[in-house]
Amino acid sequence: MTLLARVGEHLYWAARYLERAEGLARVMREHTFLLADMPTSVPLTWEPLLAIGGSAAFPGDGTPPTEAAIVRHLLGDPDNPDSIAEGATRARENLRACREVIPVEAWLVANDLHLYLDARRNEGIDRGSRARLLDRVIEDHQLFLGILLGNMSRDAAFTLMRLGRHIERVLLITRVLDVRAGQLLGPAEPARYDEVQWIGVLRSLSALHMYHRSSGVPVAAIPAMRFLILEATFPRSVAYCLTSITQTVSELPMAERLLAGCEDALEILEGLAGADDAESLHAGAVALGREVERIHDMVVAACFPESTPAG
Amino acid sequence: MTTIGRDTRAHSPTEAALPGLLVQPGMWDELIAEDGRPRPAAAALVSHLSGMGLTELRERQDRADLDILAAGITFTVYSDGRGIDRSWPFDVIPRIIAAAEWRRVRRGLIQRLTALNRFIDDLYGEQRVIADGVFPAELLANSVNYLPQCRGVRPRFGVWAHICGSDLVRDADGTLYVLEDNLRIPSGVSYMLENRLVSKRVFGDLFRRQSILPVDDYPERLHRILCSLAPEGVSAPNVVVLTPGVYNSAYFEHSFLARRMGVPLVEGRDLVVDEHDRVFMRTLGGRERVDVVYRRVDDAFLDPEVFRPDSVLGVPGIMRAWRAGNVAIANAPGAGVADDKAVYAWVPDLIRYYLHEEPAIASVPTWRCLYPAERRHVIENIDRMVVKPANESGGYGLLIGDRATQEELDAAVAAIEADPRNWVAQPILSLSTTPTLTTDDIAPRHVDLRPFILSGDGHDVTNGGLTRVALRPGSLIVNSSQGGGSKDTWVVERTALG
Repeated sequence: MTLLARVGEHLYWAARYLERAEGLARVMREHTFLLADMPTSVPLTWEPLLAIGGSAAFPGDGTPPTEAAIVRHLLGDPDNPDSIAEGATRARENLRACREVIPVEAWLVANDLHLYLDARRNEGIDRGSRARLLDRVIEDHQLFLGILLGNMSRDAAFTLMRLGRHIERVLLITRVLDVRAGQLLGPAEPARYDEVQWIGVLRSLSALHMYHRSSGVPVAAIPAMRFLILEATFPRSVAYCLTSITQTVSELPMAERLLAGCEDALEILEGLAGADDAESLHAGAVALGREVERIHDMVVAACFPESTPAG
Repeated sequence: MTTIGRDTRAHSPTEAALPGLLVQPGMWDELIAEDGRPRPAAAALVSHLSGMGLTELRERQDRADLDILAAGITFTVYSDGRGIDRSWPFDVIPRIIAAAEWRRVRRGLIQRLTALNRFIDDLYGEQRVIADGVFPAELLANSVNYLPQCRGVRPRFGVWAHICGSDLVRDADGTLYVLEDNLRIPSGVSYMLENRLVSKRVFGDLFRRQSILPVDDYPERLHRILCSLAPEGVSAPNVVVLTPGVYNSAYFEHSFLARRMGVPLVEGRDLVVDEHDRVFMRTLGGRERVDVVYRRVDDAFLDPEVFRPDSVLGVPGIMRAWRAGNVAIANAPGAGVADDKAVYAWVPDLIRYYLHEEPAIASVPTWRCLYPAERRHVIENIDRMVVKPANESGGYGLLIGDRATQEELDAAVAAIEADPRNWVAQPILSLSTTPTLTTDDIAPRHVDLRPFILSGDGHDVTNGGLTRVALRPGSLIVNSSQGGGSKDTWVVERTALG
């Protein structure tokens, strides 16, 4: 089946934006719940989410931002290109340019999510209405993926969406690990409720249940980080995503060059196999994120040579 | 005013009855006859609607509106230089045509397109029609849609206008006229198909009870016609749809047709013409040959090497490739020469000239301001005329004499005298009405009909077409860009079974 390079790029970005929206929604939802659980003595703020949720500058005036301001920024702020609502809008705009390629039902879901969020730019600021909004983002993306999985031929269009999804997912996992490990490592502070917080980290990546099933040990920093980076059977681990990325690039034009470009990331991963100290795992996660960004650049250069910047 | 055969007062006041199935005196209504009774083909629908009541009908309208919003069935309106994506306006009450009438219309349309294609082929070929004194040479000399670059090209089957959308209207006496032919890049067919999908969801029960002719296979028919145009020797042609891009008002349709035919939707920048005049598309795996281009880009923007050099929508070199016979373009460049509103006045003559037949479907009497006598007639009767620019589409620049102010009339006269060739005029037809859901009740609104005619190695006509409706009371402007809506169109094979 013929796929235009330009259309391929739209598909790739649409997949990335939707995955990003879902990922951030999960992190925000979990953070909201985590806050509810914590005694007020624990200095848990929303600022780490700014680091997880993207690069766009938060328009602060120097004073510590309020929960409401940060949530608004991440959720519906039209001026924040990395907000969830903007992500849904961009995904929809990209999909609109490839409606002839994706299943109609998948388009309907993405269009509907955009309409839903766009009409609720100022909702979800209070904790009461927030979960419902975030649930919707997560569920709609899962629905979208289910429609692709069940209805779409495994052709280049499908491959590019899968690639975009897994690249985005690695970037989220490594950002979460970077930010949260940075906070939670270092000298132990019993009053910090580390265990609860690591449970939160796992849950925010939808990993808690599978962690328990496969690791058999209580939640703690090292096994949690190892699970999120190295557990090859878990679809939201770096290892799984990297395997998927190498598989997908092998189906693309210039597969050899792209596969060679994945070598460094695979080596870092291998190097972490025996790591059991938090610092190595933390540094490894950061390095993996950087490598995957490089893979992204190579994919763009190889597959979308006529690409106009900004996606 | 006549109402149909149900005395609404006899019903309990709690049940919302169905008011407003009316015929305005002196008007032709598509569903309701003059005596207030439904026309035979509409009987099942009218009885169904009456049983349903206004509240239920409105709920179904809401459901349809939601479906359309959720499906992203949109068109783009330009305002203040900005494009705004709007949901497609749809009225749930269908417009109905009896199949027997449609068979006659279909014959007339095929006859008309056969003659028009012969005419275009002749103009770019031997110009017999001019030599024989049937069509005035000066008209061709002044035509902005005639493209000298196309002279001598012989598209397959001698067909230039492969996809035509002709606008039909019905006057008060029931006569169906062709109001205009759109031979360049007519749009609307995707809305015809989407309207049917929506109305099947809303009136699913009715589709079971009578025989409504299908429209859903249009993309397959279009695809077949497009494949038939491929250069000789190409057995499995690569067909593409060429769109100006996502900001074009008809982008939805371009995408729709590409999807339904399973062919790539390309923009100008996706195509490239090599030094051997062959067209390729840039795919993920590299360049791939293109054999047939269904283009939805205007002639002027098609090829910056030949037409507007500033066009970024087009494909440099595609005219070379077309002239060399390496790619088919539908509709062929230059086909628009025959949908010039000035040419319209000659169509009956062209049918007689090329086919030796009488027109099977009528044209509206048309005065050509080019000729002093006809111009005088137009100016003297301007308050009873529809005055149209000869080369515009979309209803812009249209003047309806009996609704215009004196100032507007004066301005129109001045415009005609300044550039007579650019204006034609027709008597004001009282466009037929059909019952339409309004905010208060059901009321008659004016409609037209755009069937689509396919020409290639054979002919095909859609069953019905896109019915456009002027949603404002009394308005005759059906264009969606100016407050028009649309309806599903049912060609009904026989009357109700029960």
